[in-house]
Amino acid sequence: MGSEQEIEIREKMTRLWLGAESAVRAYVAAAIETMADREDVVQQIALTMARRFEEYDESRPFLAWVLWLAKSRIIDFYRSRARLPQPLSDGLLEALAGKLVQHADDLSPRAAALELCLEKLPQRSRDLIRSKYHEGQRIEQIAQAIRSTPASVRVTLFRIRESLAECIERRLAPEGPE
Amino acid sequence: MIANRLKQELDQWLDGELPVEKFAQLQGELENSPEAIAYLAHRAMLNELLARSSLGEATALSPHPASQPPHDSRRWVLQTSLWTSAAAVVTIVLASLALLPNAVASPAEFVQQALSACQTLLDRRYALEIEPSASPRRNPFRQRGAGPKSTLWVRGKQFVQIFGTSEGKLVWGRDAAGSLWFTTTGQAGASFRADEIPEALEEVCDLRTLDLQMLLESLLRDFELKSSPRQQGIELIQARPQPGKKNSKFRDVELEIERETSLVRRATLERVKEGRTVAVVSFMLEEVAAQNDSTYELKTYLQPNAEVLDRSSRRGRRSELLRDFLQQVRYPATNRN
Repeated sequence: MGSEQEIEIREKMTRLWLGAESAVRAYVAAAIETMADREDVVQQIALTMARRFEEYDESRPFLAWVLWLAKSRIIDFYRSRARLPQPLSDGLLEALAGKLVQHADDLSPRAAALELCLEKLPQRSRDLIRSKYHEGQRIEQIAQAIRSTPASVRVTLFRIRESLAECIERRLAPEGPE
Repeated sequence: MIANRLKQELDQWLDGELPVEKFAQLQGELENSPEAIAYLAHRAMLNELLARSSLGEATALSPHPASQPPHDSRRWVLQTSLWTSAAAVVTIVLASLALLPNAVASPAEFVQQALSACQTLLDRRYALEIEPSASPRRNPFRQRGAGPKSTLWVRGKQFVQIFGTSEGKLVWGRDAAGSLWFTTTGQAGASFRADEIPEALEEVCDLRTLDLQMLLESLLRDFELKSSPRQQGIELIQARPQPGKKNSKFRDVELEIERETSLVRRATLERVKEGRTVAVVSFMLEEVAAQNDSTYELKTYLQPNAEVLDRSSRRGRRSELLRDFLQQVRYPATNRN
């Protein structure tokens, strides 16, 4: 194989992966509890995908294929940690993958809507989101930092996420926001 | 309709904070409720989008997201569905290189490998050169003559820069909590928490420090890259913002990457503010070595009974010290004479 062709294959693979990566990460996050394990499994999935890329049938959606690989890596992960209960059965993992594939096409508008919804949040709520998602703080650490309780932070974050989810749906509705 | 209790437990699960004894119950409820599975998928996706939202970009570039107008950094999120996740991209690239050993690396791959190397290294020491823009009258970063020698240590977003001056040590840095601090004599120091850093201090910080990870991620995401071999074993990467990408704090960027180790040996950045070039800054890697955490803390550079001025200090004193510090950093030659 010529090097130009090899570069082309790698670029195609990277492009497809980048398009699917958010959904893969969401899938792994829904199936595996700890952040460090999730990262390891995502790396495993990426490696498996790279090794087996030749098998990918371009007539099928890439995300469906890569989530199928991901399911096996997640099951392998739980097998290797025999003491860890697997909260999502094989059937549930399949159902979850199906849901993520269904929503794959509207990820970009969702991300755009989320940005607008985040702007409408009060500063304090944005700070909480930043602490949780960008600084990777645990609920307990956030509670300590803002002199609150973990239960209160948990509920506040739940409400913020609910309000963001509703805001996104409103913005994506055919009649638009408000 | 899903009960709020179940929704909250699914949130807890996704946060990695659901007690183990609740796993079995959660599985049972998911098995019996397709709605709950749909909710879990939606919520996991929302979490992923939040982790990639521009709030994180604002943290990386400026600690004043609230005080800024809606920033341009949002645009790239709005305009593209292809996001970069450094770690996984690096995995893909390394895996594909291993699978296709004869391939020639593209500029993006050089940068991705440099990003991977940068993530595994802790502390780096740089020499710094600042070439002011052509309009010094309007340039707040101009230097009159060569400044004093300085040492810049960097670990992720943490840094410490130590200037040797005739009056003593001028030291400033950012600690692990994100606070910016400085001392001009060692007899007193000032500290600003991440959410209260004055714009002038932030600007100096942008100019004089190097967050290599942020830079490389930004290059992969928002820049057009070209590469050419420079001297033996060194690849020169030249980067220009992609058309329409105006959010960057850099315009042209040049990197020298060592092919064998993927270390960035030199980074030269054209820093811009409000569309104008303010300076061309070069960082030359001098040393890679592990430093103590205390290297990045203010107390390390203070005398035993030194006073630390923070938000609780008497009004105005910290600002006075800040004025003195900015004067010395911006016009070091003037102050030394």
